[in-house]
Amino acid sequence: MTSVLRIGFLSTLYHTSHLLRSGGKIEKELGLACRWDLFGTGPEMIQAFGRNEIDLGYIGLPPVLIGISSGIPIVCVAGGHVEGTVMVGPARCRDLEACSGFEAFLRQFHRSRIGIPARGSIHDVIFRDLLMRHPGPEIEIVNFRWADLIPHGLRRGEIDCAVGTPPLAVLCERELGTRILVPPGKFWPFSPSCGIVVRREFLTGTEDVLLEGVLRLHEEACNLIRRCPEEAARSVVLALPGVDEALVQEVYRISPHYCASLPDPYVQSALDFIPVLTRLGYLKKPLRPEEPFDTRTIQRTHPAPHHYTDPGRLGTSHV
Amino acid sequence: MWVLRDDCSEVQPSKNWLDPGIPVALFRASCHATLEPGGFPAPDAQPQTHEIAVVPNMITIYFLSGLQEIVGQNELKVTCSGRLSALLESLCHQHGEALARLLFESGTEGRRNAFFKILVNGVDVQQSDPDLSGDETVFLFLPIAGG
Repeated sequence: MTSVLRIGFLSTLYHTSHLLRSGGKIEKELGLACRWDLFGTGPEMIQAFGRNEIDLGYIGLPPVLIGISSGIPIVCVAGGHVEGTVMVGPARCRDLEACSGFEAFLRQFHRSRIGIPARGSIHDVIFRDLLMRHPGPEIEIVNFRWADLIPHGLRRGEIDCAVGTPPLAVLCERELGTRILVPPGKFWPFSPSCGIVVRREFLTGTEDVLLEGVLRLHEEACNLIRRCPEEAARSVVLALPGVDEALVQEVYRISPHYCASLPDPYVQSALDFIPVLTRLGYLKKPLRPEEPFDTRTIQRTHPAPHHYTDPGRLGTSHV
Repeated sequence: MWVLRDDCSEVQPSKNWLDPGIPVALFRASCHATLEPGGFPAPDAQPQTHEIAVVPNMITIYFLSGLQEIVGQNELKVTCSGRLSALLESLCHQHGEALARLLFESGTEGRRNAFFKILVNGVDVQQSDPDLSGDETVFLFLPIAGG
């Protein structure tokens, strides 16, 4: 039995990691000590898995697929969120809706620079795939290890637009007056922006019981975000002094698709990344469809239909 | 000249870069030449080089992720040398309790908040206390934008 659960997480505000960490939920309800390690991007977290520094992580699926192809013994055991990639830019830019499609939309960015989280992150893969499917405009991708430096790059004119998470979109809008040019869901339907990944050895013996408990708390936190976003935001800011509740709620509403389960559309959307990653040269070896997922534990924890398309109270507001 | 890899996250200053004759230059980051497929750094990759706007002997501090609401400005240039901890202490003195509450964990002897990020020349310093020569770029931010 693990004595300390080593959890890797990202700063992405809508991940339930912030709720579980804030309330000390795992410690209190499962009686297990946790060590939380913050990473700038998903690829960095995968490297930590490779060094056996973490047991469980909150992460988008493309870096996980890259890691598995590199021989890192990890597997996705739960979902968390889908459609978490947006593009933001200055108000003068036309948004996707105002264009006849991606080809016309991208043309306005000829000889532009787009800031995106690190190479191999879900945002990087989605946007590079888009450029491969719509060749023509010369667009330079500038990868950042910390997404928080992207607004800084925009402010200084080092990049022209940005692709990243809903929190990034809210930050850029607040600080720089940008707006969303491509909303979540338009890039890649059901894109697996957050999943729970564990080391494979976690699926055996007593560790599996522990994992079931963690996934139950994760699902409860997903439901809290959908049903009581105000309460969830209040909990998150307890652990993040300096962040206001309104910002967290705004982030929750941009892409209100939260659930812990792994339904077929989630799995299939993730598997659809495999040929893209292959084309980008990101996979060291081909992946079999059964390699990235183990759904047994989440099927016990969350046997009911998924909630990704049920925004709860988040669906009744703006954005 | 500063050497960038991937983005400004791995900036390695070389000692002979400081040429007052180059007051401002372009900062253009691109990772294409520095990473192997999969996003992992190639051990023998030659990093691309970029020049960054600098003011000699001035530490440039950037407050990100809304922190300018606390400190009143986004960019700050200070003349300073010594330990990072002394610089942070000075900043907290200038900008008040709100910044100190972010920087340090309550109830600890000056232990920094692990969630709050301090990058000195692109390197995450965590709990270390590097000596500053006076030409560094420092980013202070509460990471919330994800990745």
